[in-house]
Amino acid sequence: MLIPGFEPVLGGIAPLVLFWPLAVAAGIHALLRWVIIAPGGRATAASVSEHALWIGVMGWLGSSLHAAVHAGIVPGPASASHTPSSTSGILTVLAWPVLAVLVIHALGQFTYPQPRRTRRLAPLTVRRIADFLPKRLALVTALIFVAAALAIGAAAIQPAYEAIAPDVVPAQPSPPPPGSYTLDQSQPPLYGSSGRDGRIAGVLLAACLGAALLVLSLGTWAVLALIARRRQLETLDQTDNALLRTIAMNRLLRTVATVAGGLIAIAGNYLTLPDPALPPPSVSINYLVLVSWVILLVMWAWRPPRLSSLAVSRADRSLPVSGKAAQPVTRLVVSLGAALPVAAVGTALLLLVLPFGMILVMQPAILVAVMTGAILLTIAAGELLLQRNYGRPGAGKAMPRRPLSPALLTLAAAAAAVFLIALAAAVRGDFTAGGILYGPEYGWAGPAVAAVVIVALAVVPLLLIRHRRNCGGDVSGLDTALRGISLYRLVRTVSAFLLAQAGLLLISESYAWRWVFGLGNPLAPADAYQQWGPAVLGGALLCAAAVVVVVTPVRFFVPDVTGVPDVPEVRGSRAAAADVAEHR
Amino acid sequence: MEPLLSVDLTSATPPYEQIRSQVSALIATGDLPPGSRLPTVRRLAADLGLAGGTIARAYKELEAAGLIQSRRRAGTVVAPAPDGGDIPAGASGLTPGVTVPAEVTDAVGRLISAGRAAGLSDGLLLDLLRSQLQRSRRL
Repeated sequence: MLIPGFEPVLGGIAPLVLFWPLAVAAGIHALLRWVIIAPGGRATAASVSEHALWIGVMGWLGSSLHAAVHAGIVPGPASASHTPSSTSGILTVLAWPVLAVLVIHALGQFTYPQPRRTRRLAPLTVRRIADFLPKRLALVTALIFVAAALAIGAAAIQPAYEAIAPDVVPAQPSPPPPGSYTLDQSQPPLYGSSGRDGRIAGVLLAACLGAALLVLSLGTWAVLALIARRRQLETLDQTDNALLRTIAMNRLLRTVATVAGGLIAIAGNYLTLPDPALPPPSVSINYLVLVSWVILLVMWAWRPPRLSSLAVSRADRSLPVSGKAAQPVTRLVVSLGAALPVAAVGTALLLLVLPFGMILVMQPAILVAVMTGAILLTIAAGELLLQRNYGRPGAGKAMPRRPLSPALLTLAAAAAAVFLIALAAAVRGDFTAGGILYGPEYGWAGPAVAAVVIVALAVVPLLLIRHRRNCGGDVSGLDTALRGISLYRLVRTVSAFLLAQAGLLLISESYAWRWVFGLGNPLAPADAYQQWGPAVLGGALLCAAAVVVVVTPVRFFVPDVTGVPDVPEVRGSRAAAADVAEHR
Repeated sequence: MEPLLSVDLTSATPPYEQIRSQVSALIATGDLPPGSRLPTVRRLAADLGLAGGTIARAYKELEAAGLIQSRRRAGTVVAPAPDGGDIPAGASGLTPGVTVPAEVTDAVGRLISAGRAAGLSDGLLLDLLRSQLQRSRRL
């Protein structure tokens, strides 16, 4: 039986819709495999910890319910909103984040490497979810799920409202919806002048939200079972293996709790929509959205435990034997690392107050370039400051033996390749679409020029890193380590910039990919510059990847930044380098 | 402390035999009491990085010896002792119905500790034990 308002969902899915999620899943799998085995070729406690963090970050990025925030609201005729108000549309925008969270966390569990040692160990016990579950967090998450179910239940009994067209005055006012608190209902009836939003029947929205909550609950349980039962890691002891499962469960529960909070917010937006037949309330407080914000903040603050072996190694590093605190030059380099984000954000804020600065701020490609330029100039200024304060004219200069780790080199090459591909596609698409209409629009020219300027600007700190005076004092290997760290900061910044520009190109010139893949219709000129969803999604993922790269601590790419043998004479410089790397 | 299985891929003893002998020893010493659930074949194979068939063969031999039972709902569990005692009968060199006293288990532990402290390999320790057993049999 077909329920009115419900349309078949699967029947309308194009084959390409499944291609992109699978491609993204394959990419995430490859990335996580790379994270856990890089750079030494085997999983270590540090790489395992980073891997768990990446799963959490990617799961969080994929969990956004932004597209569904006004689900069930029927836009008024004058509204330009693209709010999903059909059941198929609502189910689609709810399905992606719910499935993305579950799939990313499940993929993470499948990316742990197999044992490789000749002597293999395994506990002869059955692992259960309860053995590793963070109990308090699980209880809070369960309560949030119950709250989401209650909010959805409240939405289920609400009537539908017809959206009102401009200049149409309703005849029959109806009572205000429960869940909305109106302070003033004595406003004159201004309604009907520009149209008002309506909403679908509550039972339809509740069915969609309920289905999402059900899938989220069952999926969470399944992924928790997977976390409990997946293979042991031979590089970790029993305690850390158990802790790693608890960390994974912590990140999963926090993410699904925020998704459930998002469902509460969607129900809240629906419940507090005023009846378009009534005068609009002057103030309407959506308490359920406030609840979802509280959930978000609490889950952000609920940190997972740390692997005990990492805690021990951190404690070891803080022993006075390192001598790092005795190196003022090390402290300066640590400060320079902290100054980089300040320089980037400070420049962006400065643009806001400068005349014509807002024009730059409104152009993301230019804004990113300006912020990157500020970071590069800060790195260059840091090298000059090091030379001025600690440079010794006669001392030898030595670049690191292995200037770039394979991980960072791969990242830089991949970022450059992705940017060039995005640029080439944008150029081709622009000339193809422009050939149909009035000529190319050159929307790709700004990012292309910005990339050339930034790459040219990067040469300045590169030359300073290479040619500045020795600043290592009497500590052998320290100068090499500091040059290595500056080089890593430089390459990391340029790589993140290229990824961000590629992402922005994909978003702003997404139509180009339609032409690249031969999906454009030369006989429909009006659609020549129409956005293409998959390219926009890819662009958003690249921008997110750029953010992750730029905030990744240097130590992630620098297992042995000095390239100096581990002998007592240089242990101080090693520790100093590690300390700097720790502070980015 | 949870019982651990150790498989040495460089050993001349096949992995399934190493698993079988260790599980039977753990059952004999009471580290795996009757009714204890064992991991599934797939789970243990994943943890050890071995083929599922290897684990399945070890479990099959343990089941044939009456040391473990495969139950549809509970999975694989350590079989109860035939006489209702704590330690089940074994067919792995352990005399059925005979319990291993704690002092013997402790003595074996001390032997292993002393051997490790002296830097002796596991193979040499086993050879020493075998020769001592043969000598005591001759006396």
